[in-house]
Amino acid sequence: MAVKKRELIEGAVVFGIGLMTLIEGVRLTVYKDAHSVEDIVGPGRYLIFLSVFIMLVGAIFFVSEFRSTKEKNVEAGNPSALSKTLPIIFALVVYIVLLYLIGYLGSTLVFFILMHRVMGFKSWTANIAVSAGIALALYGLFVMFLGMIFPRGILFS
Amino acid sequence: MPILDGFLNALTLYNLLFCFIGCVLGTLVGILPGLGPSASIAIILPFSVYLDPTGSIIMMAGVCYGAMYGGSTTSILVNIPGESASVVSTFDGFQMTRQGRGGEALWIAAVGSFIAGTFGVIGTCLLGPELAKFAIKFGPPEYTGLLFFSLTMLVSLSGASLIKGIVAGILGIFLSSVGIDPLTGAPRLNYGLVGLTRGFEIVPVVVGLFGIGEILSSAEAGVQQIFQGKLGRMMPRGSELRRGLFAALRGTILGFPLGLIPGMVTALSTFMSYDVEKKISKHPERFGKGAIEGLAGPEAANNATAQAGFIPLLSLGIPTAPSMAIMLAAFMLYGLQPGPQLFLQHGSMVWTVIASMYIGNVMLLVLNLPLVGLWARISLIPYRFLAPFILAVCLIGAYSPRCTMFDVWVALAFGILGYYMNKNKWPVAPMILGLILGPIFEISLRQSISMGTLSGGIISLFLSRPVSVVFIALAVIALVISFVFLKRLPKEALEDDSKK
Repeated sequence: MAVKKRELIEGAVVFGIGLMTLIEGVRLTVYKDAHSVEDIVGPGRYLIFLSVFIMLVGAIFFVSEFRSTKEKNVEAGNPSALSKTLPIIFALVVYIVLLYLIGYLGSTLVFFILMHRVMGFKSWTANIAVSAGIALALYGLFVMFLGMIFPRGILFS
Repeated sequence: MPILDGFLNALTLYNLLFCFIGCVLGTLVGILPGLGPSASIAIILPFSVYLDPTGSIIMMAGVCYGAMYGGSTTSILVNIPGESASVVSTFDGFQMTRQGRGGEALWIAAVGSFIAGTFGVIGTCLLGPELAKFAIKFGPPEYTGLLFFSLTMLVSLSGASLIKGIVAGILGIFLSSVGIDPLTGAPRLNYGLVGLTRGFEIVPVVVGLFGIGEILSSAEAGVQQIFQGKLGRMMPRGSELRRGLFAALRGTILGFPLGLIPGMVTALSTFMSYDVEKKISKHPERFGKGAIEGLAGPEAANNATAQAGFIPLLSLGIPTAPSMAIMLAAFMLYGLQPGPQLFLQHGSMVWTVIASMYIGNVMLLVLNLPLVGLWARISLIPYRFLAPFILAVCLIGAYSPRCTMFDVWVALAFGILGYYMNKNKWPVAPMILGLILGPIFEISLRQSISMGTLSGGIISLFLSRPVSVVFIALAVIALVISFVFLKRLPKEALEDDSKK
């Protein structure tokens, strides 16, 4: 039943996206910018046309899952799976936030240290050494050789 | 024959050196996610002004091909498409790597690209300008018909659940409409967020769904290496080789005419080729599980489309793809105006460039085939080292197209979505197809409706255009065939075993 509930929620979400698109389409059709140039269809009508399709397929999906009585060959929520994936997602969020704060090199170093730890690297010395090497290599390749401009970090700008 | 003079000029040491440099640079840059041919050529462009025009254009053509091959390498080995045209290579290419057949996958990708390049040069010489004149007659109704036909591929890409595939495809089209209305400039679905006003760039979505999503799924499954065990052959043999080569030929024939159409997305030819291969195969249930045709056809189609893109550029001055637009900029930097006069005024240079494209294809084959074994060994690297590196490169790839942190957050969000979709058997490919085709489908549809309204009827407009009628008819036939095919196969055959 947990599996079926999830799929009903998925159907409802899709229908909700369609509804959201419909509202936006109506808004763009009704509240036209007096200074804008428009084609015959206009920005709103296309969204209305699209929203009808989205709500239709969402509704069909919802009804088909609701009426389905077959067993689903899908794992229904495995808590231990999250313990493996959440640390990786956390490390990625930390990486992106640190990019804003300390720039590319420092955030990449921290990211690799965290990720190696998550992936089972036990030795801190080896972890830091390997992470520093990789971070420097990526910095040299992308920033110095390819000339990409990354955020310098609020703390250093 | 002018092409023979072109080969004589291209085979000078000076031009061969620049071709080689272009191929190597292009391959190295193309391997990086988010950096496809367009970005690779753009990076090289500032340095090329110090060279003579012929050498510079030859180098940039080499970069273009090298980048395509590099993008395919990451798609096949680590499931990270370097650009949208490499997405399809992940469907079967990465599955081949997981089965220890990464060497065979890289080999057939290289050879398929070479076959496409060879036929592309022949096509350019024999048919070039005439085909280009036909292709520029494509108007909005023809584009609408073609894209409607392309959207029928949603059915064959859906796997076991047709409704999930269609939902994913339509959500992809929805995502493509976020940002700015392409015809009026009105912001839509942005809810006041500056980041959303710019819309979703395809590269962050692709690296998120495929790259980050795959890493999360593999972490959950406790994968230690992409492949554990002894690597297989580096070259396919017997019936595998035969099937791969014929698929490459079919991909070439399909991809070449599509490359002539201005504004045509390169990725479209790869999806179409995959769809064709699946439909004509006697064992379509093998697709998505390491079918060599599912890799060889799209790779060849990609290369043929890129090769054909030079024809409208050189003969009519019309770039058919972003990479061609940058090539056009390169031509104009040297005071060369691509178009009908280019062949008359600078014919020697043009034929030298065309000949060097073929030489570039040969060089890529010679460079990369010996390295196939080395590249394939990437699949043996323990995941605890490979996964963080892949994630870091994915985020860089997401950042690189527009240099905005919003795209990095988009990649992460779609990575989580990709993980969820993998876990709950939602097909990802239809969403990518919808995201790629959505904008051009919308533009061509709205333009067609405008034209039809002004000319006395939308339906009569489509019916009066033979090309659009043919494509719409093909779409209906394709849908019928797809539904019949789906009904015949058991659902288990359509499921993706790689996720179990």
